[in-house]
Amino acid sequence: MEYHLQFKDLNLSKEAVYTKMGYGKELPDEPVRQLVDKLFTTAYTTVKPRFYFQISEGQLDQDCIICGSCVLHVNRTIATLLKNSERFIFFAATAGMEYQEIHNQLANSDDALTLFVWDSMGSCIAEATGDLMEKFVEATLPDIPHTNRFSPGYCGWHVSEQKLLFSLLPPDVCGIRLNDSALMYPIKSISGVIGSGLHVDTRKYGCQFCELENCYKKRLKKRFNHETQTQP
Amino acid sequence: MVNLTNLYDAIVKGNLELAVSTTREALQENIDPQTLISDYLIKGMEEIGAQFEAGKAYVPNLLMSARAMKGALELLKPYMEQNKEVTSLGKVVIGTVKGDLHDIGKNLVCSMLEGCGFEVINLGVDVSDEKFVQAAKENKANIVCMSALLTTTMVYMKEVIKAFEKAGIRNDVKIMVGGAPLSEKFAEEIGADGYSDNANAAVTLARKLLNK
Repeated sequence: MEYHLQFKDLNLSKEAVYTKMGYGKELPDEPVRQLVDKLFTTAYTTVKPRFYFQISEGQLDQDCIICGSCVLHVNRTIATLLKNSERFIFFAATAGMEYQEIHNQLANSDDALTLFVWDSMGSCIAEATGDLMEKFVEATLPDIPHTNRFSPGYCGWHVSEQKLLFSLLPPDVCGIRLNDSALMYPIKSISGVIGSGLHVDTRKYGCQFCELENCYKKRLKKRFNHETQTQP
Repeated sequence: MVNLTNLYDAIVKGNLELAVSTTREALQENIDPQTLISDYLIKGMEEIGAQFEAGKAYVPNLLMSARAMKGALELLKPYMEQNKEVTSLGKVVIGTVKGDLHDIGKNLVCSMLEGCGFEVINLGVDVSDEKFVQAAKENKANIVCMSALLTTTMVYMKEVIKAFEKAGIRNDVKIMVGGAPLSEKFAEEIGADGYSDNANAAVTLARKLLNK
């Protein structure tokens, strides 16, 4: 089932957006905080996130999920993290076209700062929509643990597989389209799979599973840890 | 008499209004545009860049500084055109490679390059090898910058470099790459001229590659 939300349903905090913008635990300067306030006001009246999920039978076979005639090559890392799944939740979630239209307007303007803040907000909106979707999954499958969510384009699951993944979902799901390169539009959209089963690995997904040594997220974490450790 | 320290401060603090008003005042007092650029604007950008590298400033600070710098440079443009010794640092063609729609880091690099005096031709996202080559030829670019956020799309950068070789213009341009999953090693492997891991470093690298 597809769920349509309001921005307020996400309970997104400004602090989460500050963190996404790279501030860690610091507060931005006043002009930046004012800009975030203004864009939150815009989001409350315009942004309409949505998500969809379906629970499917399927099985893991080495590096693949087999679901009917569809074989998703999720790669070794994700397959390991999905071990013991008894069923799979395929999902899509998006900040929505209303968000994207404002993004497009800003991208065509000369205001890189506002675009940066709106883009950071968009990432938070898409992730918060995914988080909310997980709560709906938990309500649908009470007392059954689930894994974290995993997406094409990450951890060796090739982004081109997004086409296969979307072939499992209803047409035009959440208004998301794929381009020739299998990337989603609106750009602030997520899709993927969650494993569900009594004995699945429920550890939070994070940098510890990723093979990218040079990723900016790892660098930021190292920098942040270094700063907090060296503070008096 | 104009207080030129205000110009430096305006850039460091990202205060567009102060940067524009001080530049205007300085021009009315016939202060050499080159002095304004070299001794105040660029110094201000260098300072905010250094603060960013040290973790004391953030991306929005860089963007505000770049915006203030750009505002001041707009006023100086007519004088720069009259006075040919003060010219653009170089032409940069930039884009996110084919298959990738992520552009926020690339746009940040654009702002910083423009703010620091480069002429930037932004090709947007999902840019093919042909489009990179064509834009570099048409604009007589000195530098081509490629960005990617996905491990699955960064490999396309090698295709773009091959296309430049095939078109016979590989030696006419310097090729810079950047993006979260990239590394210095990857840049070397694909035959790029340089890699930077943030927008400030991209400006430093661009200047170094062009000996500016």
